[in-house]
Amino acid sequence: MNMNAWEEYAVPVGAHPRMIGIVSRPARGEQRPRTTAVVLLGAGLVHHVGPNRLMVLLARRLAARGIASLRFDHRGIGDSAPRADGQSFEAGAVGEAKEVMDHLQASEAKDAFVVLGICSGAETALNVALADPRVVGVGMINGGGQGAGSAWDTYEYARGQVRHYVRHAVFNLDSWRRALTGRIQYRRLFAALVLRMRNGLSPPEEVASAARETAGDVEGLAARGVRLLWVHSEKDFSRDYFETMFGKDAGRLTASGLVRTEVIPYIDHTLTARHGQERFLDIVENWLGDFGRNADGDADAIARMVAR
Amino acid sequence: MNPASDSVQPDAGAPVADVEPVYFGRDGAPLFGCFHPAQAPVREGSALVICQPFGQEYIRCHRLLRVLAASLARSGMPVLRFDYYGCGDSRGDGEESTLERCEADVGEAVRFVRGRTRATSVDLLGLRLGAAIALRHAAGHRGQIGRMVLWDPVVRGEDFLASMRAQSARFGKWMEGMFGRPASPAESEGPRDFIGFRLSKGLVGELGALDLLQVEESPCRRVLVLDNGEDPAASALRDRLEGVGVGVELERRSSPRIWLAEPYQGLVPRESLELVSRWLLAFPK
Repeated sequence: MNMNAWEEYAVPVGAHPRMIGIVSRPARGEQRPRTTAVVLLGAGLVHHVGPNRLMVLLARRLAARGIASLRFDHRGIGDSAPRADGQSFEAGAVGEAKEVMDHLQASEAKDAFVVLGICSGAETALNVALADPRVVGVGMINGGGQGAGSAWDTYEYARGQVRHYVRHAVFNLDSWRRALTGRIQYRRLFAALVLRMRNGLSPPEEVASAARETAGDVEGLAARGVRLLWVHSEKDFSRDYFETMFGKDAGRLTASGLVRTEVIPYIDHTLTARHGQERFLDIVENWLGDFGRNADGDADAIARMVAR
Repeated sequence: MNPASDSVQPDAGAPVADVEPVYFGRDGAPLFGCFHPAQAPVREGSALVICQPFGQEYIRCHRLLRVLAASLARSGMPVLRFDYYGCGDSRGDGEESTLERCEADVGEAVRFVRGRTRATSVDLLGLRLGAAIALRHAAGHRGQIGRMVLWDPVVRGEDFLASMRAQSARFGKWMEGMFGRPASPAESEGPRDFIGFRLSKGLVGELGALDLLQVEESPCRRVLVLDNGEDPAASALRDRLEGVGVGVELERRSSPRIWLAEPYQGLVPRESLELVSRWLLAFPK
């Protein structure tokens, strides 16, 4: 990457206690800056450089393409001081992302935003889009449900465990060796099988209802013209959440052009393997490269969605 | 306002922050750091530079070192945490990192802290490979460093590489278990890929030759070696440093090894942290 194609500066963001953020943007004269900026959310407790420094690499790559971004730490995470009001992370995260957009709007003259996060950051990204009309794109990498409740989490966990036992463990000599010598968690195995038998092939109503609500939220965003990107690691539980939410409708959603899904093969949840890191950066860069250049296509897709 | 590159946008009118993002060092390749100004009456002449670990260990230890820095600053000791060139938010690609460059970066960090705090004495705290970098810097700049904390130091680079290879192998095995097959050639990690980070050829070569037991110059007056395991290399390092005239205290604590823990666990080893804080704040300069 051309190190002179981008520049960065650090900035305290939002109300006191200020959050620590880094703005990456195209160097003056290098690219015509776009009016859309990207807000890079954290991934759980990992600070704003992101898992494997991926947010830094992504931000600099995007800046070299003319796209500004701001990566930051939510209050109480990474370099940012904790909240003073005792509010929970979940309650404060959306408002904090909005503070970041306010900052970019005031200091960088951006009026539209793409919000992108990994893991819990993906869930926050979707919630930010629902709460703020300035959001025109949401990138979700290995996220779960939208603020998934415990019943949904338990359901997906059990589903993943059973799939692992059926597809891999029963055919694996090591697994049998561990099972026969007491080196597995029998309680976890038993609980997963019981849950699966009790639920059958369909999710319980409590889970189905939460999934329908989230799917409705997504359709609402698409109708608003918001583009959505789901990136899943091949075996990640996020694929299960996606399937529970959309089932057979997933094909229709992606056909609209507003929703894109990508699966990265042979990679873990936090994108540790190097081959998958490159793939992740390419996917996001490519997706954002389309932004704002397909207005007619967007309008058609929205019309199709609304007419359905 | 249109801030310059690698600068900090001024925060006019805001209350004094417990941490300030800063850039310092060479033109064209400045380093990013977080400066924790003293929040209590400043201890005369005393400031601390934290030398962070490397690669995945850097990610895993970030929270611990942030908590430590904030705690020391509340007690009156200004602290700088910073990212080496090619690491974290500093400029550069990870594959450009070398030990030599990291040692030079420590020098830039020490200069920044002296200028910012007017400290007459700067202490260094290094964790894992950061400890080796700190010690080598100090040994090459006699009389410039007051005291050092070497927290689970990487004493021999070969041991560090072996540990990285073992962690990578465990990760590969775990992936095989999850996917039910080994990685294809295109999916396989390279020989310098260590759980998410690729080390430069130069760094791997330097690590192969790194041996703190060969230190021949006294790096500073006093050193605390903190060992969170039962590493015989920690005792050997103590003996070697005493041999070159350093006053060394070796403390062993069975706290969790944070650099092996996933960040989502959010572990902060309180006992080790308190020990380090007490030692750094204990005696007047």
